[in-house]
Amino acid sequence: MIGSTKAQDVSLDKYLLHHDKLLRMPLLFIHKDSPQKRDVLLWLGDHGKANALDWPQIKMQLEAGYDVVTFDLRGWGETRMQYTAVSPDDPSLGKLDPEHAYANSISGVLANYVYNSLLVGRPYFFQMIDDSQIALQFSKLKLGRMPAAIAAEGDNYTLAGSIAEIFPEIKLVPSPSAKAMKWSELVENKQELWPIQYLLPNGAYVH
Amino acid sequence: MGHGDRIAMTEGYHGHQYSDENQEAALDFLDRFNRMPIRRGLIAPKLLPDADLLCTRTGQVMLDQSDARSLMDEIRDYYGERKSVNHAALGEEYKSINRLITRIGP
Repeated sequence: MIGSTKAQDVSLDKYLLHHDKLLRMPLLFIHKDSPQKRDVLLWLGDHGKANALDWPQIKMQLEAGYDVVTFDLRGWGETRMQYTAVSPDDPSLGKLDPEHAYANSISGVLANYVYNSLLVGRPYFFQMIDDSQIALQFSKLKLGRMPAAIAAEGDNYTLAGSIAEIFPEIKLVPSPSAKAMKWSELVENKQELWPIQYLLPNGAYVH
Repeated sequence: MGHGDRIAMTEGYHGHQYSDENQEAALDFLDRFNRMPIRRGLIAPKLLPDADLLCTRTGQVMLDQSDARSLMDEIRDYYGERKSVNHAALGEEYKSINRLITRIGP
């Protein structure tokens, strides 16, 4: 643990996990000060772990009885790659705000990482699932509680749904504002643009 | 091996393109290889207007040809032909190439 903050009856513990020799995962454990062992929920933000703007959603989960583990998927949040993409093939890229330029499906920085992940044989989509398993193991081993549920905002709802599908012991908390993407629908609908982090060989067949 | 005189490298700081230095080095090589007279510098090319190079009226095959097919059409058909075959579920795909998480620590 590298720090802790307390506000009323809620504590926020900060961790920096070291894994796979060189990688670091910033992780927050947001919990009520309670003598009971409350269930733990993994929470995925749209652009990394929870921040101040996400407090209404986090508060809702705390009031629903969960303590919350939220972390930066590799390449997001505090592990975001500090590059800016400029492409003569896509002049509009430079006009996007930094967040959208970073994740741009055609020419963004994240797209380059995603393409390289295919070349090394471990699709980024699976790397993100690996990250969730690291957070899950951390919760189990260090916090003494196995996460029972997962919730997500925005595009990451698809990732959360996939994690819950692969690991049925983790329940997906439905989100009224998010919709899980289906790879087969992208193909059927001939949709050209979609979140590049979901580039997955055979994706249309497995889903 | 033993022919270092046949290897050369040209580098420079420039945009994502074939730089003038690289173009000149490549043309010098081709001239030498084809036993042509060695020139120095690049010949100034005659630039044609983009419109002179179009093969369709609109500049877009998809607009000009009523039977044109897009890459997305091809992908959808490819998928349609194979989707009835049994494929691994997402969990099987993930676990089949899952690597061991060996150690985590704070």
